[in-house]
Amino acid sequence: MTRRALAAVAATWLAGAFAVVTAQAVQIRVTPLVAGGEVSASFVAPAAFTSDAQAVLRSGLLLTFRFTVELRRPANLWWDRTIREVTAGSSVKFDTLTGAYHVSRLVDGHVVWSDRTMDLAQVKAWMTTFERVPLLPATGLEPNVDYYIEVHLRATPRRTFSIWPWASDDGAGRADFTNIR
Amino acid sequence: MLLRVPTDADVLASDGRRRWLDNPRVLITAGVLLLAILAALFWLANRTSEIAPQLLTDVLLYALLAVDLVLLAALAFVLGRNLLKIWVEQRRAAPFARFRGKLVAALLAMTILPAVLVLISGSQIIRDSAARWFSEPVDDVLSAAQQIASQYYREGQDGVTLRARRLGRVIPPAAVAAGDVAILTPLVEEEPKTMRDGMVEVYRTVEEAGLPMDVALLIAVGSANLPQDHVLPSADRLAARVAESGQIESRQDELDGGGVLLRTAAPVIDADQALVGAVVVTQHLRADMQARALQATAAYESYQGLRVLKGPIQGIYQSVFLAVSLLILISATWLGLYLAKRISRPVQMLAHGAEAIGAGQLDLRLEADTGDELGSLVESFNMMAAELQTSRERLEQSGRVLQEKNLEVDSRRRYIETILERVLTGVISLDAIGRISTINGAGYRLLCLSDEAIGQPAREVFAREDLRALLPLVASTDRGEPGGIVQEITLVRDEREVHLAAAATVLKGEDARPEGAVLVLDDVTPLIRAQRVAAWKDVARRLAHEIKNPLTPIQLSAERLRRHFGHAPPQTSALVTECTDAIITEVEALKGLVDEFAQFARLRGPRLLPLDLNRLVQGALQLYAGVLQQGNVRIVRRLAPGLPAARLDPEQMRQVIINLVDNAVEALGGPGAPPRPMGDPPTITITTVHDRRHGVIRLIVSDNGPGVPPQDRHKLFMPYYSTKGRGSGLGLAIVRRMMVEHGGSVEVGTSPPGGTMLTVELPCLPS
Repeated sequence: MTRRALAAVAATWLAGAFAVVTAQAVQIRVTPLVAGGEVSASFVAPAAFTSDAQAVLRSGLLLTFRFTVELRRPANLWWDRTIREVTAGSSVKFDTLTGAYHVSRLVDGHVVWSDRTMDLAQVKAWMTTFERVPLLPATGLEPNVDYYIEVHLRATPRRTFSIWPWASDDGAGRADFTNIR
Repeated sequence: MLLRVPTDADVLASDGRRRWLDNPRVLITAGVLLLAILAALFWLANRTSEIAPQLLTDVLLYALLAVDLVLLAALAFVLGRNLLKIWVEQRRAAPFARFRGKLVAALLAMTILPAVLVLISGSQIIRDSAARWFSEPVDDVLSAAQQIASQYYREGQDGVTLRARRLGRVIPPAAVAAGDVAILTPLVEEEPKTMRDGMVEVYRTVEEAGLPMDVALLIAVGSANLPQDHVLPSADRLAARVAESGQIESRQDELDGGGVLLRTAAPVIDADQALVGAVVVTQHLRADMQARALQATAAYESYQGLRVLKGPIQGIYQSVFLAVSLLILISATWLGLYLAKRISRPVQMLAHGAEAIGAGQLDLRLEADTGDELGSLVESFNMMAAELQTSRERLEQSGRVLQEKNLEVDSRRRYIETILERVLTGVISLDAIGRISTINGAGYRLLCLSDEAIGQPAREVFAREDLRALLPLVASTDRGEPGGIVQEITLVRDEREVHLAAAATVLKGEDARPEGAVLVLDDVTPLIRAQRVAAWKDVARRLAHEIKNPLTPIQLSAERLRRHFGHAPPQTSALVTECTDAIITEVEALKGLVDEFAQFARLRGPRLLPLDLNRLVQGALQLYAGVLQQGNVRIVRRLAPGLPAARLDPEQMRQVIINLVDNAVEALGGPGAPPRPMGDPPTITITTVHDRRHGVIRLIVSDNGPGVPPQDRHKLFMPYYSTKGRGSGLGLAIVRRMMVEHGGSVEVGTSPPGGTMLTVELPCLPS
């Protein structure tokens, strides 16, 4: 009994750690855009709606996707310099009574848009597709220099946990570009 | 010296911290704090369901995990530190390190093992409980309730939608476009009656250039029991949205007083497919029904939320439980180590104290910080140390006194030994069974004994031929005769007599039992000689006085007879002359003899000066340079270099040397003596010697003449004894007297191969 219980405890802890370590990170497609005097990023994470995310959504909990968009300049001998960081997010709450989805979108902590729909596909599109998230004026970039935009996804709440508090992200994507001028 | 902490310098350095930890207030505060933390953790565990899921999974869970890691590290630190200390103490063989190690091991086993078992079983219980929370029946019931509520809503919404869609088709678009209420009223006024609590509103589109499509209310028909606040701008907005999109739109409007309005708007489209208006149908759901539906939904969502977050919630519970267990474990471990330290510390102090006292640090005192039996033991230890210190001080004082006494006794013993060694009196001590214990230097010299005599029975030692005279003394000590025995004995040393005054004294202890004896031997030879010289001096004085006085009248009478008979007949005259000449000659001889005796009797005392004997010898021998140069006698000088000075009368010493050399020349037969029978030339050897051991110098005058028979040697220094048949025989007597008055002696011996050897011995000054 004791051995079995010990094994169970160990398995619980190891499973938590293993779940995070081995979780398949969601691939985010990132498209940088330098136009209209502004640097922006469009990205889409079609696989972000994982089974865990759908389970959270169906339970009526507020599901939040938090995307961290970083405009960075690569460096050879040092860590890459972050030029701008923007947080964009979307959250959805499923009304289990009416079957409606209430979707909100936030940029840098501010709600910029919200809507209600009964269509789950629409919800998925709203939650995972971001168009032209502004980063900084184009003048902030040096001409003919390489940059890249990195997007990290963090979905909350999580259904798994790790004994290591600083676990990896749920998804990530990167796109390099050269500011040709 | 006061000892507080028993182990080592590290522990001594942490004395302040130990006192802080020993403070009961600190311990109570720590205990209260621990209980507060435990209560907070339990409170947190109970409020898990009230915490937002995002906060729960992203903050709280990781915070608890961090707390667990910190506590785990703290436990590892406490355990590792103390175990390392115990290991180091055991490696250093510190006092009671093994005892403390066993105590700590026992206490840790008593705390850690139960805590680990509780942790394991508790985790299992949490897992089992979590599995039971989300059992299938509960899931089914909550899902069914939620589906009923949802279905109720959905059916109401679907009914409203169907009605709106139907009215949108039924209502004539022209009437709507024309705003003909009269046509529209009959079409819609019956609708609310078929609904339980419903309402129908008809809008026509209003289009103005440059502005978005707007709507205007044409007619609104509702049930009588519809809530008064049912007219809401939301219906207008819904109609406007339909007018804009051309699609059916639905929404729910919750009322302030409870209840909800299910609304659906449908477009009114004319034959040209142009949108001319919109119909909004509203169905009222009662507040109680809405509340029940929301309640069922809330329960369902709450349950589903928990089920979805089952893993993190279980992790939180396990983290809380782990944190509580670790706190208890750390507290129990620390308490166990603290108790082990509290128990072993006085014992270590005692061991350390005993070790220090064993090393002689008797001023050590231990501080009893407990009032229990260990405290009493420490007090007893301090009393014992104090007693030991007092005893040692007394012993040291006694030792010092004893040492002083010993030094005094030793000094006195050395003083007595020095005296005994320096005195000319021989002292021999015998033990209780007659064995020789000690002999002083004079005893060795007088009796010609060696160190081998020590420990030998006196009877055997004195059985030697020349020492047999001492046996009666030893026999008297054996008999234990009281009062001591004194007798004079004569020993022969180097062919000369040594006169000893021997005394034997029996030593008796306090119980009057004999413990040994002491033989005292005084060399009285010089005294006897001095007595003899004094006797001869008296004889000489009497002779001079008694003989010389009549000689002058005899000589005068003989001269008178010779003058009176000078004119007598020749025969008579010749006879008288011959007789008177003989008388006068003999009288003159007698006068000379008497003068010599008078001189012997009147010999003055020596005037002693520190002089070099060698120089006196050289000076005296110069007198013989001319005399012996023409003869056959040879003088050989063997003078010791560096001879120390002696207190001498130069005139008397010069006379002594001359007398000895004259005596030798006469013994060889005069300056013209023939060679010796073996062909050797007649030789006189004059030698000076320094005897450091006895502190004397010797002048030895020897010849290779015929020598003196042993039986006549003792007469050699008597006045009027001469082997030459002429002279007064006072030469050597004078020499002896002078030497006696110089504190020395003169002895006669045999010179190889058979001549005479005269030895003068004089005390010398320290070199």
